[in-house]
Amino acid sequence: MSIERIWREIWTFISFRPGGIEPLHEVEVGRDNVRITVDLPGVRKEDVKLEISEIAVRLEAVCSIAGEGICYKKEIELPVEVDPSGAKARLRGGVLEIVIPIKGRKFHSVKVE
Amino acid sequence: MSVELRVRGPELKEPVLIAALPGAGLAGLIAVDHIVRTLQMVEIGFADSTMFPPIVGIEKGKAYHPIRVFVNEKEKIYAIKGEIPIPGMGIVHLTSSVMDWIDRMRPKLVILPDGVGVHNRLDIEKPRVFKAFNMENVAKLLENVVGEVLEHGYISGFPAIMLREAERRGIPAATLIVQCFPTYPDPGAAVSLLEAISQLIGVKIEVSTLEEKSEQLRMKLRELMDKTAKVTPILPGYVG
Repeated sequence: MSIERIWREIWTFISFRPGGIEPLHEVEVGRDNVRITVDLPGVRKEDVKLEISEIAVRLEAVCSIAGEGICYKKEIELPVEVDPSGAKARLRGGVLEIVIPIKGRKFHSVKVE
Repeated sequence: MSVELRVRGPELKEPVLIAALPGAGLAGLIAVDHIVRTLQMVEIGFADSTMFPPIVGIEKGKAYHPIRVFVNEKEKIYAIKGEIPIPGMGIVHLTSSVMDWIDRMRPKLVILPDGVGVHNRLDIEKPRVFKAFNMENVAKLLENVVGEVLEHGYISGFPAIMLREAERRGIPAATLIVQCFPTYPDPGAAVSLLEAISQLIGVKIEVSTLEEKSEQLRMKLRELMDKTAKVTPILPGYVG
C-alpha cells in the first residue's frame, strides 16, 4: 500500500458516525479465548449494554463528560466463532474487557485404557 | 529531503530538552503537553518537512504547526511536542535537525518520555516507569528518580533514534518509558512519567488538573491515537 493511500485512509477517518461515537477497540485471538477491549472514557458499568453472538459483539454505552452527553456504539465482527454463554466482561477505569471462549476449543479429558 | 527546525527564541546555556512524539498510549506526548501548560512555556518555533503529512493543527481558528518548540527561560527548559505521527525516515531527519540545534547549547540533559504497551494494563493501578540512559553521569542523575533501570530489552522509534544520536554527539540523554495501554490514550501513565520527570529536573509539576481532565483528554485524543497506531506500529516492547 502506498504512503499516500495510507495517509488518505487515515485522515478520512470519521469519528462521529451517525447514531453514536465509535470507540477505539482491540481484538486478540488467543489459544482458547478471544479477548476484546474497548476504550469507553467516562462510562460506568451500569451504563453499558452488551450483546454477544457466535460471530459478533454489539455494545452501547452512555455517559457524560464535562457536562456533554456521549453515546458510544460499536459492533465488532469476530475473526473466529465463539461460545457466547461462556463470556465474561469487566469495566476498569473506562476500559471494557470481554473474554469469550472460542467455539469448539473446550477440551474434555478422556481416560486411556 | 530534510526537516527544517525554525526556532526564534533565546539560546540558553546548558538547558534541558524534553521531547516527545505520539507513541504507545500517547503517554509521552500527554506528559510533555502537560509540562508546556503547567510551566507556561512560550512557543518559539516549529519543525516542518515535505516528509510530514499535509496537516496543520487548529486552535480557536488559528492554524499551528503540529511539531512545535517551547521554552521556559527561568527553568532553562525547552520542550518539543509533536502532535502528528511521523513515519520512519521523517523521525531520523527530525532527530538530526533537533540535535544540530540543541548541540550548540551543550544541553545538560535530553529527556525522552514514552510509553510501552502492556497487555495487563487494566490490572495496573500505578504504571511503572523504566529508565534508560546513554552515559554514566546520566545514570547517577537517574538514581533518585522513581522507576527501574531497564535491564534488558529494546527501545524503538523517536526515543531510540534520539538516544543513538545523542550518544554519537556526546550529549547526555535519558529515556523514561512507562507501562500503558498500547492503543488507548493513557493520561494515568503520563502521570507516572510526570512524577519521574519532575524528580529528574527538580521542578514541581502539578498533576491534579491532568487527573481531573483525564476523561476529556481520552476523548479528545482518540483520533490521534488511532492514526498513531496505524502509522507507527506500536510494538509491545520487551521490558525486564
